[in-house]
Amino acid sequence: MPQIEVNNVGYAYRLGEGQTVRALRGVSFTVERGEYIALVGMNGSGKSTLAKLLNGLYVPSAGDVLIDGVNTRDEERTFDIRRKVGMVFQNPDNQMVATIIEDDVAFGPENVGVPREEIVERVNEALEAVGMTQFRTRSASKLSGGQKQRVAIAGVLAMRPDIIVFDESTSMLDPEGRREILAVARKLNDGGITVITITHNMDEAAQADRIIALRKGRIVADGTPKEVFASAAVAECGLMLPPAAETARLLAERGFSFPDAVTTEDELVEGICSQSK
Amino acid sequence: MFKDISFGQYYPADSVIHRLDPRIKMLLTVLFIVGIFFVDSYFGFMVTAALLLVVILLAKLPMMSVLKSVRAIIFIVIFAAVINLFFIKSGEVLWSWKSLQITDNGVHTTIKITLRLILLICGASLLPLTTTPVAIADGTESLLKPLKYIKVPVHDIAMIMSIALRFIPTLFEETNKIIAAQKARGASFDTGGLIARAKAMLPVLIPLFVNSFRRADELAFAMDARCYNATENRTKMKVMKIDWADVVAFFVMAAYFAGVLVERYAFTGIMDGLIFGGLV
Repeated sequence: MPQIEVNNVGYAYRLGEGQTVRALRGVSFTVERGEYIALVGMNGSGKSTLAKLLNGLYVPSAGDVLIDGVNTRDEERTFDIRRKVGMVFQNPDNQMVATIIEDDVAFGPENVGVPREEIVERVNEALEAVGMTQFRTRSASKLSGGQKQRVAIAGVLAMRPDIIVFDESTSMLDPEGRREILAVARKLNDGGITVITITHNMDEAAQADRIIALRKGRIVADGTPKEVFASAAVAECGLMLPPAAETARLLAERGFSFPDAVTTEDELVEGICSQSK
Repeated sequence: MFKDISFGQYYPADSVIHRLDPRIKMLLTVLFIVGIFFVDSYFGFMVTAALLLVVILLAKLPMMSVLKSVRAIIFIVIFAAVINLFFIKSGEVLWSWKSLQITDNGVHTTIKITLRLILLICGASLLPLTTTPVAIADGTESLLKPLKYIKVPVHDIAMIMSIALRFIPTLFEETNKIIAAQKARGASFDTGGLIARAKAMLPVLIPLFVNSFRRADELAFAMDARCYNATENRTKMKVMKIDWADVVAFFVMAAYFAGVLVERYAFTGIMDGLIFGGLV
């Protein structure tokens, strides 16, 4: 059984009397345990809506979302699903509940009634995993954006999730903060947690094992970064290829031939060197 | 740019007083405030001042941090002193000019009122100086718990308080950003009369409000995603518990309170007579 099963899902927002906007239509895909997936698309492509469908914040208008076989429509199981699927949001300031960092990390476990001793243990563990232990008794307002997002990740980790969804969690950060968060995401994925990151930064998407591209609420590409970058899907979505891939594409137009699809700088260098021989 | 006001006046230090249970500190503060209104002798004020001094030393607070709070009410103190000095007509007249006169009773009352106000503020300021606002919010929740039985949503109130505390610095920062943005477009905030200035704040308040609603929306999603539900089976990482130091502090304050009442009603004026002789 796949860990996440999205079956022919549609979602419509109500705008007012009789008016609706269909954010997603006929979206289907499955995710296996331990995958690292980037969900890409322009603003309004439905990617954030899709993220909120994965942990039952939204319930699909059509189709089903199953997490470990449990339907997100099942209200009895909503909290089980949210415990399993953690979510890190875009704005670091708007997802922190408590003033003191350790109190914020403890918020999730407190909500689901974890015994006190275990909360302390989980908070220690979670802060350790994101490298924020020395800040635990500080006020969150004095941290940098990247540090705040690390605290938000710790808050999710304290729930001991199987899946973490990053909903454009790096888009408000400076390059340094972005690197910090990507490093943490990679480390968590290596530890067996499924990572789904929503982004319109293609460099970031290139680091995933698999890219799902959305356009106007439909999936237009689903494959490895190499496959997706080689197809026309990225341009179709109105997104930019990562610089290395874009360079390779332009060179290819002018008669270069690359044996493999290019996604990283190293591959580009290798490809160009192989030409001159 | 500005001090992190979510910490208020809090003066961080590692002391017995800082570690006291916030609920006990709040109760003791109330007891102290009530107590000092019963003090009516110079001896009583001396004992009160000595007690405060001991607490300040135990809390490792610099004297200035406590006296700072007196500065805030200095005008009220002066006002009260002047009124009492000139308008108490009973007792022996010491000085008079036209309709103004100062009597010995007036002088005593003035000194006592001034002492009472200053000691009152010093004592009350010890709570925010040694307790974080977060701890005060937690303590309030715990103290209000009995109200649950008359259906007061105590937990919700406490959650609202702590979220408000959490967002004060965030909104402050945002206000500054909006002011800067409006200034860049030629808005002026420090010219004109009171009404003109108040009107100038409108273009700051509207975006601030709109953004606050957006923040509230996002925060609600984030809380939902972390399984927030205001039900009974919530647990707490930090549990407040009454320690030996809390018991001792309580008995010290109880002894002070009882002492004040006994001195006032059973030994009226006797202690002052013994110490100051004919002076008072």
